[in-house]
Amino acid sequence: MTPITRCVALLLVCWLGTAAAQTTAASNDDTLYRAFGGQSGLVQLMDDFMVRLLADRRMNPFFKDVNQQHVKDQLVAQICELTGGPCKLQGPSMKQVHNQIDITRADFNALVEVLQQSMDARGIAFTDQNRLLAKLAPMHRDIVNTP
Amino acid sequence: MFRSSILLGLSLATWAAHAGTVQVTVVDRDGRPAPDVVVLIEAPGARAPAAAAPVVPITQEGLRFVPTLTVVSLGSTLRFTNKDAYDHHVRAMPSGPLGGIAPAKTFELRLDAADEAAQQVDEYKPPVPVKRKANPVRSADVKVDQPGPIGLGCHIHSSMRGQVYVSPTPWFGKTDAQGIATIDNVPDGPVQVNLWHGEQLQDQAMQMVQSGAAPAKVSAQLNFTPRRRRS
Amino acid sequence: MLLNRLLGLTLASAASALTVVPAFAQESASNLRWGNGKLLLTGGVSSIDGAAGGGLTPWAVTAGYATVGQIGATAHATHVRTRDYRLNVFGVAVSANDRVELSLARQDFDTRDTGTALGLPGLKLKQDIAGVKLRLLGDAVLDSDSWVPQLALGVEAKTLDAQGLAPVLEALGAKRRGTDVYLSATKLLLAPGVLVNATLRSTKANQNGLLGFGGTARSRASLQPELSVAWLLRRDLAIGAEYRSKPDNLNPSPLGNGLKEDDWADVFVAWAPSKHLSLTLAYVDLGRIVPAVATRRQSGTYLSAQIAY
Repeated sequence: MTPITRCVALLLVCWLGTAAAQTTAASNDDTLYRAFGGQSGLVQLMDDFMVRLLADRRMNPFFKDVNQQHVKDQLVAQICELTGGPCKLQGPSMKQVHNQIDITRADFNALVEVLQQSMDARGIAFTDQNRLLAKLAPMHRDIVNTP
Repeated sequence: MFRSSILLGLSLATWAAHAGTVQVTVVDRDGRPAPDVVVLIEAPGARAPAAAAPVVPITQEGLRFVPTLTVVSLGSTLRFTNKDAYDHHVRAMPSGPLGGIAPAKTFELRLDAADEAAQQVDEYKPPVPVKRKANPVRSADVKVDQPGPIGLGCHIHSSMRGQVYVSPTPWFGKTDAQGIATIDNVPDGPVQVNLWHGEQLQDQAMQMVQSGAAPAKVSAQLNFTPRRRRS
Repeated sequence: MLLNRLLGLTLASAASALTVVPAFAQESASNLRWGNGKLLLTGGVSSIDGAAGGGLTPWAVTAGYATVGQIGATAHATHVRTRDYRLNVFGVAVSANDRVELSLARQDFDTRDTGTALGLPGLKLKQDIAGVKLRLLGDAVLDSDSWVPQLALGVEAKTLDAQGLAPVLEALGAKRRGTDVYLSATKLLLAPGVLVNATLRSTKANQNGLLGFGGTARSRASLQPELSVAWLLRRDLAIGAEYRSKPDNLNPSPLGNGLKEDDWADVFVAWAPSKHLSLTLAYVDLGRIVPAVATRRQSGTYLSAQIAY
């Protein structure tokens, strides 16, 4: 446990921020964005997500001291962009944001599980969930830094 | 004539003798070199030189405070400059692993994004032109007149962490990557070497050393092992 | 000749991989903790040889739910019931750092009427399998922007206790011991939720080893391809199919083609109600097994339960 307050919330910001490695993702096609309920759907999803992160025993230490509103705003913009929505987010790189905190593969997977719970609660279809996860997953290379 | 030249020689010798150097080598509890350890030297009874009031730069770049640790003298001015392409809200935070040491000075600065980021923002995306304010405030000064630690944080980016230490004595330094700090101009005589690290739970043991013509070498070991930082 | 060289090369690399294993284990040995960080179902199930994978085929994934920096263990029990035979398998596996997997399995094959027909009523063939698997590279789950699969090299050291059948096997030139070496490539295509695995196995085993290793027709190892495909219907539910080609080392033999061997296949459903338990139900076709006596194709059901910690 590091003494410094963790900010794995930015894990999500970056998680979504630099997924453009595979620009094969249909950038003009916003079907996935609409499947997630557009802007208001994403806002509600991220509100629910933050609540679950704080309630999750594994994720709570990463999120209890962060600027939660900032993180949620960034997440909404990032997922919006990734799923073909009209947002453009520019911010620090994933590596920069997570560099100061120790994040293991198990931490990354745990966050994926909490996101899956949120998406289940919002009634998002399994196939749509997997399509989003497919865009988010490669970010593990920049986020997981321990060991 | 002879006597005055002796007196002159003696006073010259005394002048020269004031340029004592203390070299402190610090390792952590596992025996590895400990960088970023604050070294403070107390010389009781010695006359402090005229206080300098330098302006010490601390930049925000790549979502970090550069340098991460800054040790300054009382009365210095910290100049915070934002070189990143996004805003930072720099603020003073408590120090210590449990956040139990109140900052020696409180402040909150809103620093706007730089025109050109110090580093490339995002290697995956092409740069997007960002709207700039008419009169951006990229830099702000904070004068520190109380000794003690000041933690640095950013209200927006919670992972940004830095440390300032305002030294109560004019003789101070911080250890480099090899765990070595060299402090010059230390007055002659017995001096006290104190160490401080932002993650320590207990005070480090103090050491006395004799400062004089020959450089005084001090070896110290921290009572804990700090978290290793990634570059 | 070429196959011999290939086998030699494979064994050599397996041997060197095994010497590297302790190094891998040591690099983070001090930091390993019991854990179950893998996502649901991404540790596969227990194959009948004890290695993690599908029901019939080992995959490149490591056993259980331990991920990088963790250590975990699984135990499984499998029951296969075909037209004329029964097979029970019990085994355990341990995985460390998502890098190394060790497995032990005991197969108990009840020959039933076939044993009786061969003059060995109540014949039960028992086989012990010790397995080592080393993940070489890749990540089956999270590298969704790349075609690179997770790749693993595995070794299965098999020892058969043929009981009353031993002299027959000896007469047929089938050995009691054999070692399978395999290379598996596994990839979960995240967006469509489909897992694909291709395994190439170098083996001499007859009926997976239950009738010894090598024989009258061939005593050298041969390369056998194996393929699995699975669809994730839900986070906790997958359906799929497997195909495993087999050598036919005892055909022809003094029994003519009476010991002919077929490829194996199955279609399965795997359900993991939690990270601690998974259940697999499959319809298997194990082809002909000693068709000299049991002429029908051995199709039937396969049921397996795995617990993980």
